[in-house]
Parts: sequence; structure tokens; C-alpha cells
Amino acid sequence: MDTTELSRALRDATEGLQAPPDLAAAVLRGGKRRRTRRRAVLAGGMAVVIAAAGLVVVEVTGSNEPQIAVAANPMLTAPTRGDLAGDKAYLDAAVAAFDAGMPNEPDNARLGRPHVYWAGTTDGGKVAVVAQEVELTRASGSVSGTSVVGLLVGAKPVLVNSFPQPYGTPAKGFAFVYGPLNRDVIALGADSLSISSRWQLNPTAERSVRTDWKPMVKRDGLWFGKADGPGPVEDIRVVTGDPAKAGYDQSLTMLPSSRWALGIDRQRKPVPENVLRTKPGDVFSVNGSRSGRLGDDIHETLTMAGLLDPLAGVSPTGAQAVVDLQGGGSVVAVEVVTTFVTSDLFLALRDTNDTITGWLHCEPVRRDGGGLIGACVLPGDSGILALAPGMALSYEAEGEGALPGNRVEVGTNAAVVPSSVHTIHLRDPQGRSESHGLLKQ
Amino acid sequence: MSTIRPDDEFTEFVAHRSTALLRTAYLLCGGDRAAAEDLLQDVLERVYAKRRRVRGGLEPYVRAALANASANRWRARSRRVSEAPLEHAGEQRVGGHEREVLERDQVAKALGSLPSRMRVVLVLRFFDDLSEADTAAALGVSPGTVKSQTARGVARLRELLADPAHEKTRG
Repeated sequence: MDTTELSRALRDATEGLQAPPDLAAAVLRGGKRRRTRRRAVLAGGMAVVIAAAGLVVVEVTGSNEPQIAVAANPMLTAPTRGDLAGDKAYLDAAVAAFDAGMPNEPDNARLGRPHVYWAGTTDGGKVAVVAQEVELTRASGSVSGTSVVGLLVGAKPVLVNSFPQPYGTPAKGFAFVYGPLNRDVIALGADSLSISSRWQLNPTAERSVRTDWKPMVKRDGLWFGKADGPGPVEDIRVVTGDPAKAGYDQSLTMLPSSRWALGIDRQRKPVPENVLRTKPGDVFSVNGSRSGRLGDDIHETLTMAGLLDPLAGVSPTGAQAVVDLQGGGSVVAVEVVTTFVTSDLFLALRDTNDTITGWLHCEPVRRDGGGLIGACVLPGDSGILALAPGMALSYEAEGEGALPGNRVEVGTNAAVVPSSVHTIHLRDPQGRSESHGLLKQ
Repeated sequence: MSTIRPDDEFTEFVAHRSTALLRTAYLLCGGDRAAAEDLLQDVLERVYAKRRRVRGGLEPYVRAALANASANRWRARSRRVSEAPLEHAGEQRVGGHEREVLERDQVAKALGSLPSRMRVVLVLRFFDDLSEADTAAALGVSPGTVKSQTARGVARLRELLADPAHEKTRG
């Protein structure tokens, strides 16, 4: 018996084995019981401590029995809803289109017939939401049931999006984005939904937030909304509950139809392409700085500082320029994609242990065709950091005694110039030169 | 039918992954279904309490917990009288579907006769498809230990399944 045969033998040995239908409920009951017991023990111990101080306050949190379901997705059996629910020809066409358009992946066997959960007329045209049971074979060889939900649009329905109902992942709900210019949204799997079309960095504000939240409307079991447009579909967000308090956990998985062909992962984690102007791996140590590059907490700390959209999830970063400060500590300028189509230059303020203590927004990355990515005014009148990968940087000395045209070479890729300098000169390896104003864009 | 609480990842996880996890537990328990159900429930109840502190995927965490708990559980069980010695399992002659079922049972029971860590390594490597590195991380041992346990475990399993007593059931 080789290892392949062993793998097969182990799978055969467990074939047909099913978890008891009440296992999930029993686990949750037992888990709650354990938690309550543990809290009681902790509270008892705490009561002794507090009693010694002359106070006795003991509170054991009561537990609600969890509601769970192990049955199949109810969307598979619920009567069809929507104003086109009685249009048999349309429903049949939707089922046929779902069958024809659904990718047939080797390990995802669709079972039974697709079921039209919702069919109706929306701002984005006629729409059908179709669900079907799927038998999913995992890499381990185990088989589990799940379902797939598809979105079909048009009077002659065409499948434009689909999403496997998740298991083992947070049941966050999800939203299809469809229609002309990708502005129409259908959401399911969560309640009390609101929609926002864009998040824009406001350099003058202390914290940037989405300010365009609109309530979505529930109709026959689905939630509908329309993004203000035009704008990048990747900026649209739907959250459940109070939008002012919503974080990433409250945001639904967004699924733009225009990215369906790229797969689920690329739909829900839309990594911008061709937005960064600098290379992610580049680190420029200015004036011989020995401080390290930024770590993995750029996204987290920028979000905490209110400078990144907490609902975005993905914010690629580009090159970094590190400068040691005279009084100790260092600063690092880094390009960060803030929305799907724009990037900005930020400055991380760090202590002597390279720990980030704050962030400053420098300016939106320049897209004027020149070599200057942007500039950051350093704290404490320490000068201006200019970032221009691949270019030699210089400025023209000014002031008493300076001769006209007296260029001061300050380095390549990135350099610090005095705060009084208003223009930076760049020269590429071929000798071509260009000049840029350093006033904030 | 009751409804799924949309914010409870754990509820969703248990509802959808319990069968797959039970299969792992079944092999870890050497084909003892009742023990596998007990083991799985016990582990899931413990994980429930710390589910919000679990970093990364819940399923790898639960599988690692199952593997480690089964090793401990098996040590406790080994102090009791064995309920179904392997050498007796093949004494009856059967054919057709019954024979297939019995042969499957043989594999699980052969696993059960291995030392606990060796059994766990084989299940994680060849049933759950974990790499040597991931198996080592799950069990808190070195990759070298996983490699040696795998080699010895496969060899031992081969011997057990080639036992003449087992061969009686064929044909």
C-alpha cells in the first residue's frame, strides 16, 4: 500500500459517515454551558476579591439558547418572490440561462434543478436570483453540501454573477452589483442595509468617513439599492446596521458583475491594477538612514488614524523612503492605494524603536506624467521629502550669496530639501530634466 | 426550522463542517464512531469558548485540536481493556458489500492499533492532506518527527493490513 492508496483507503473508510443532525445544536448548548460555568467560577473568584474590599457585585451573564439550522439553504425551496414570480416563461428562461451559464467546476457537482428565488423588475432591468444545491468535494476528499446563488439580468436573462453560499466563513451576507455602469445593488443574507458609493480622502479633515450612506429598500426578501454615480464599482459598500458604527465585520461581500469573470476572490477583494506608481519592494534610505522599512501594520495603523477606508479591506502599498530625524526617530513616506483608482503619499512618524506613532497625509500621488511621485513636509521644520524613483534630484540654491543656476544635488530616488525650496529639479538616466513645484497639490 | 444567526461564524461552521470533521475524528478514534462523536463534540465545545481568539481559519484550528485531543484521549483509553482486538476482526468470512464494509473497518481499526501520535500524523497527512510542515505545526512537533512518524506509520500499517488474518476476508 503506497500513500496514494492509503489516502484512498482512508476516504473509503469514512464514506457515508454523517454527523448526527443534532450535533451542532448539542455543541452550542454544551459550549454555552461551559462558558456559563466558567463565568460563574470567575465571578465567584471576583466576588471574594471584591467582598474583601467591602463590596459584593456578582453578575453572571445569562445565555440565550442559540438558534441554528443544519437544513439546506431555504432559498432552494422558498416560493418564488417578486413581481415576475408568475411569469413562467421568464422563470423557465432564467433557469435555462443559469444552467447554461453556470461554470461547471470539477469538484462542484450541482444537484437537482435550479430554483428561482426571486424574479422581478428593478431599476437595472429584469432580474432573477436563482439558487441551486451543490455537492462540494474538498481537498481532503470530504464532501459537504452547500449552494450557489446566481444573478441573471435582462428580458432575455443572462447569468452575470454567482456566489457560493459560504461555509466555515462568517455569514456576512453578500451583494451583487449590476446594471448600467454597475450602479444597481441586490443584497441578501443580512438586514437593515445601507449603501455608500464612495470614500474620499479629505486631507483637511482629521478623520475621513463615508458621508453618502443611503438606506436600502427591502422588497420581497431582497434588499435593493442604487449607488450614486458614476464612479468605480469597487468603491461601493453595503453595511448592516448603523453605518456610522459599521466596521469591516458589518460590511457585506461586494460582488461586481463586471469582475465576475475574474472569480469570487477577485470580485470581493478587488486589488487595484496599475494604480501604484512605485514598486512595492523599493525602499530608499535617504541620507544614509539606517532605520528599517515599515512593517505589516501600514493598513491597520492608517485605518486607525482615519486615513484609510475601514471597509476597503485591501490597500496595496508602494515604495518607501526612510529618513532619520535629527532629534531621534524616523519618518517613512509610502505610497498607498486609498481608493480603487487613486493612491496617496503618506508619512509615518516613528519613534527610535521604529514603532509608528502617527501618520500624516502628504498629498495625492501626482499623475501629471512627470517623475515626481509627491512630496511630504517633514515635521519640526526638517525639510521636504521628495520621492522620484529613478531620478536624480536637485534644487537651486537661493538666498544671500547664492548664484543663479547654482544647483545643489541631493541624491537619487528620494531626497530631503530645505523647507524654503519651492521647486525640485529631476534628471533621468538619459539626461532629460524636468522641474516640479513642491507646493502641496 | 429555526434560523441561522447571521453573525455567528461558529454556528455556521459547525452546521456545515461537522460531517467532515466527524470523519477525521472517526479515523483518529480508530473507527470507533461513538468515541469520534464524543471527541468532536468535546473539542467543538471547547473551541466555542475561544472562537473569537482563534487566528486564521477555524477549521485548521479545530482539526489540530481534534488531533491533539485524540492523542490524549487515546492514552486514557489505552489503560482500559481493548474492546475489539484487531486480530479478531477478520475471522468471519463475508462477501460483496459486507466484505467492503469490513475492509473499510479494517483500515480504521488498523489505524487504531498504531501509537496515537503515529496515527494522528497519518490522518493529518493522508486524510486531511496537510503538508509535513502544517502537520508539524498542528501537533507542535518538528517536521523531522512528522517525516519519521509517517514513514514508520505507513510501514506498520502495511504490515497490519497484510496480516493473514485480514486476508481471510478476501474472496
